[in-house]
Amino acid sequence: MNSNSSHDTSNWGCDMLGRDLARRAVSRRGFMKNGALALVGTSVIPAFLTRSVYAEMQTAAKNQKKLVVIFQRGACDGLNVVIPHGEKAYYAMRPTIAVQQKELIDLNGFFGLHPEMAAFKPLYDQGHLAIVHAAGSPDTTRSHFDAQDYMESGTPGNKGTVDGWLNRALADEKVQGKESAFRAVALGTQVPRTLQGKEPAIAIANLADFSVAGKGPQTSSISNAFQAMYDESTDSMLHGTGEETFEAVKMLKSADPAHYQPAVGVVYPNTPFGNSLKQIAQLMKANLGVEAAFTDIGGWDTHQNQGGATGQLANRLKEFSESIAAFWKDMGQDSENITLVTMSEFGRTARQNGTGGTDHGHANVMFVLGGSVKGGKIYGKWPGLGPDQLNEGRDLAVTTDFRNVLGEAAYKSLGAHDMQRVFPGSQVNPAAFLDFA
Amino acid sequence: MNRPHLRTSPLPATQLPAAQPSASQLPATLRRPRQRIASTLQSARCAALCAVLTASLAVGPALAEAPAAADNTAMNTASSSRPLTTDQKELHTLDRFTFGPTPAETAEIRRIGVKAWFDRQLEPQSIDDSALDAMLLKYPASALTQAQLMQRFPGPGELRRLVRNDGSMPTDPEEHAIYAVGAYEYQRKIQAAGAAKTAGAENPAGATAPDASMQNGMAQPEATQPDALQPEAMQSAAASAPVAAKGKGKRMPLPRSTEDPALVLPLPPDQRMAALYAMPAPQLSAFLRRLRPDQRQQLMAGLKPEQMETLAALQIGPIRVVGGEALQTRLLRDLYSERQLQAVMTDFWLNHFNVYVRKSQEEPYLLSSYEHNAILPHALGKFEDLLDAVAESPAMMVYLDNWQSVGPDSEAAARVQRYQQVRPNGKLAKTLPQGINENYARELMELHTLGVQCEVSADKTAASVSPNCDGGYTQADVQNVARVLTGWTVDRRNGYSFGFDARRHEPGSKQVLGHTIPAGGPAEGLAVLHLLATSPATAHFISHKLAVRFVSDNPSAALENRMAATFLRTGGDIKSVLRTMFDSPEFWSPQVYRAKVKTPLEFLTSAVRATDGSVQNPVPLVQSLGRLGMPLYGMQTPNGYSWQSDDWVSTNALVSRMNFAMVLSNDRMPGTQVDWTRLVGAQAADSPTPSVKTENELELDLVGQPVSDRTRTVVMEQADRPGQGAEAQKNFAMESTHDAVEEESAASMYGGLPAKNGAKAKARGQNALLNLSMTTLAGVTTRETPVSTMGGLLMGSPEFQRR
Repeated sequence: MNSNSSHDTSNWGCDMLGRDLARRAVSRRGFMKNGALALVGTSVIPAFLTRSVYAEMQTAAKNQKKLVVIFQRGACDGLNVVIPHGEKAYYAMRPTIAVQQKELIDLNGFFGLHPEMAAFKPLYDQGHLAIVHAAGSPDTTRSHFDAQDYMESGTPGNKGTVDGWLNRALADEKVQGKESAFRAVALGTQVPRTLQGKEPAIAIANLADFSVAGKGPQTSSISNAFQAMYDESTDSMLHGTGEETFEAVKMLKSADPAHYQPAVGVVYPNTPFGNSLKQIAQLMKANLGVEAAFTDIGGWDTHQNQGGATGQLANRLKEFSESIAAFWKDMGQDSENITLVTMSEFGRTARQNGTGGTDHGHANVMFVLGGSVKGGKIYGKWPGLGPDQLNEGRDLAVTTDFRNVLGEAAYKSLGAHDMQRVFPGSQVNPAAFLDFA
Repeated sequence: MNRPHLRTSPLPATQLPAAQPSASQLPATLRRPRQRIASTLQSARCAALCAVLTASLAVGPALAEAPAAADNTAMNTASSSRPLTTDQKELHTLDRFTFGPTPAETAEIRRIGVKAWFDRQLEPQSIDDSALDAMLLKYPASALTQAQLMQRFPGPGELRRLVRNDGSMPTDPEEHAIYAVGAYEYQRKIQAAGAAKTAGAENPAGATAPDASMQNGMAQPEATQPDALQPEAMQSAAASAPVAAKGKGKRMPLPRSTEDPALVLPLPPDQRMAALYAMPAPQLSAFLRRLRPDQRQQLMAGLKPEQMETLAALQIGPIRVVGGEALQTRLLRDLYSERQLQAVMTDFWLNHFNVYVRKSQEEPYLLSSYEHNAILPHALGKFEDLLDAVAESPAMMVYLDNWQSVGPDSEAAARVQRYQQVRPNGKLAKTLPQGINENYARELMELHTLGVQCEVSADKTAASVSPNCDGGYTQADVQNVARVLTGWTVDRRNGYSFGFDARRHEPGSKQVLGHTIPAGGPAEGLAVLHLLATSPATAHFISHKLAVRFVSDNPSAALENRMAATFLRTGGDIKSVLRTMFDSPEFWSPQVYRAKVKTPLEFLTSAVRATDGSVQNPVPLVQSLGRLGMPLYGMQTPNGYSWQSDDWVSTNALVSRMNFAMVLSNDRMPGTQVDWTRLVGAQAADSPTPSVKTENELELDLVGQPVSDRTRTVVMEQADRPGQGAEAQKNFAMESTHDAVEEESAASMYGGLPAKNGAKAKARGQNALLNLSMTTLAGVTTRETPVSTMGGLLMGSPEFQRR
């Protein structure tokens, strides 16, 4: 790719004319399993990257917008996150786990934030944080794993979808110039379903250790040896991932994102989730061309003894909100370009169960945080908690399709405009967006 | 126990393969007859491997027409549609039914053939496993009953009770010391947390307070800021603390100069330990913390395994000794059991019936019994027996919450309602369970038996699910199964065993999956488990999962149907199902040969086994599994780890595997030593010049067959450059520069002391590792030779990632 392509508006993300075939063919994991394509001498390792190369990459997403997606795995109890304290039924159904009105942080006289989410209150007040309540999947499965799969693929009810919604959103973006190896990055040991697909995506658990046999500024000879092996391997799956690996290793060595320490006064919770967000911030500050970042946080499956204003769920919410607030503050000026969206596979039963917890439910709450977000507001239609208002008589009903929220975030940050491509078979279209951004 | 893994079975005399390809067809380096190397073992194995090489070079019957070099060895591409050769079948069998071929196993299967080998593995009792048993003697806690384990190693709950003065101290001096120091450390932790909270008040975002790192109420076993508290400062406060003074049992008479290491350390082992037990808890704690590394070695010298455990409990806390041993012994079984198929199946079922070590403070205590009593005895038995054993296991009961589930119309619920009427805001009214918890009931059907494809919901009608599902299960079925299982709980007063509490059981008959289950107490649950275990949906679900584990990521419907038919015909006999799979053409198809990507556990075990590694301390390997993305008992969610290749190939995985390979091959994995000398002979192992012949041998040793030309060329080019094992070690974070975050993983949590920030803490972590390992790491020399470099490169190669 050359830097003169700035007038070329062709879709390099997924060129229908096949001009990017060579690149895609050698870099896609999961799509090459059958070794259908002969791969001979395809190793084109970028020259040692310089600052000017970064400059080129930055134009890849010329608007510099970045989308951060956070998955709360295990089905977070949304009714105890953004609490409908104006509903009497809420207190009736949750005698020992309800958050009392005097404990919560009121938002608008009807909803309130869990007290351990105080870190979100300023973001809400400043108009950066929007809340979408009663959002969820139209599919009614109560299986964590099916529900997560449906949300990550973006095709509820259809298990045959091979790629993730965020990958398709990236594929729909008009990209100019060379894509960065860091365009789509997941903090963790594996590329999540959300990011799997044709577009390259990498997984990194820890920036400081992401290097083969040597932490110095140059790749070690062992690293180069491994690279030579993987470059020419006929094992298509390992070949493709190997190529992404070594490119990412080289870029990291050059940019050394670890030296970007959190801004003054920003302290991330010292937890895996806090550390993931801290590292996403480092990657973004290092100008590595990150456009989409993903991370997740578990521990939400509170069947038992979940607590109310304090306790198990409260601890989780504190970590969750403080990590995100730290990330926001850490990004400083650049937070203007960031859109961050949170999701969980489904909510939990409106009634508490027999063991001080909640079982698998349906609708949930999503947060959208961003520079161009019209926050300070709770979006979506509230379905109520009355007996005939509950889904199947037990859960908060879904009034906003989660894809509508993700779609708007992707549309307005990544510039993915073909919603039928991102969410095939859905009703998502810009006219129906909630207009939170 | 220097070489605990040495196979004792007699090996056949050296025998070169009958068919040799003509010399001119072989790569130059292989033309010379392979030299007899070190031992009978070595030569027998060499013969076997030569044959593998021979066969793979000469694909097809026309031996003389060997194709151009070994270029056709792309491992996964199923490039050949020719049937597998005998040697390939042997490798395939070991790749799929063991944790990786060892030199001895390769020789053995060559001697007796794949069928006899498989038959024997199906009868694990017929295989002598005394070498593993001897190894496990180092972990006496893992042989205790559940009740004994909990008595000897008090959990955090017990220690809390002690601190609150409502527990009782044991009289046995050894146990007394564990309890007293445990309670003392617990108090220190509380005080440290209080101090941190005070400090944190000025900096609310500094969420290092312990509650941020607790999950499900699980306390951090270590004080948050232990270094902030000087032992001296603590002593005065703690000396008057109730615990230290509170022993109800008789204390041993104190020897003079109780806390002087110079006097304590030279004592004979029993007296040395007695001197420790005689110290008051604060002094003992301080004594142990102040020891220098050499003094620690001295302290441990000559101790019996039980004493080593006690010492470890005093230093890192009882819960970590217990949890750590459960992980270590599980890994040792995978690495060294001669009953490899049983070990592989135990691992399969532990993953199928996943539990999570950090679920609660109790869970670590329940793992050993879960493996040894619930899973392993039935790993090759009847599925229903296995299902019943899991349903009754405290480990599963706690993990999926069923122990608390109470029938809404049960006696127990009525009692809670009375409490609520009398004292609506009382603690009992608020905390006692009074209704069902459907967590286990759902996963029982979704993940353990029928499979999620049988779930019926508003979007999936009963008519639309597979016919095998016989109408499937609904949300109502989930709730009714939960009602059936109310009262299935953990009897905490009776050694933490299974107990049926009739008072919690929901009365009346229940409708489950279209069947009426008559009221019958615990018999209801057994009836439902029987219904599930014998369902065709279960037969298919289990068969499919087995086929994915053993055959391919996408097994054919024909294979699944055949296995499921056997499952149903034999009443869920796992052995028969495996045999059907083994006898199926799909298992031997060239398309599936070397087609599975190793999981991190398979990668790690196959590396240690192929290099004939001897493990004196499994803790670093247990921790490595966390770094590789697959900590033992570390999957939080009940679906367990994936068996699909996609999920294990990522940029992060490759970086970690390459670094691990270099660390292991250069003997920089603490506690594990590879034996290149035994693999390639002393002369080759020590040679400063890389030899192609040695490289070729290593290919067979490690990968089992030749690698691609490119891989071989790269290995040879790199072989005489420095191996950079030390650098890889840094990247693999064996001496981590990053902080406690990474250390949060379950493996490190129980496998060893989490290294906190700072060198001091790191050193302490290392020392604790040493202590827990019960062996010294001193004397292990790391060395980088062409052979170790070649070995590391081969284990990091694309070819090694497949099985």
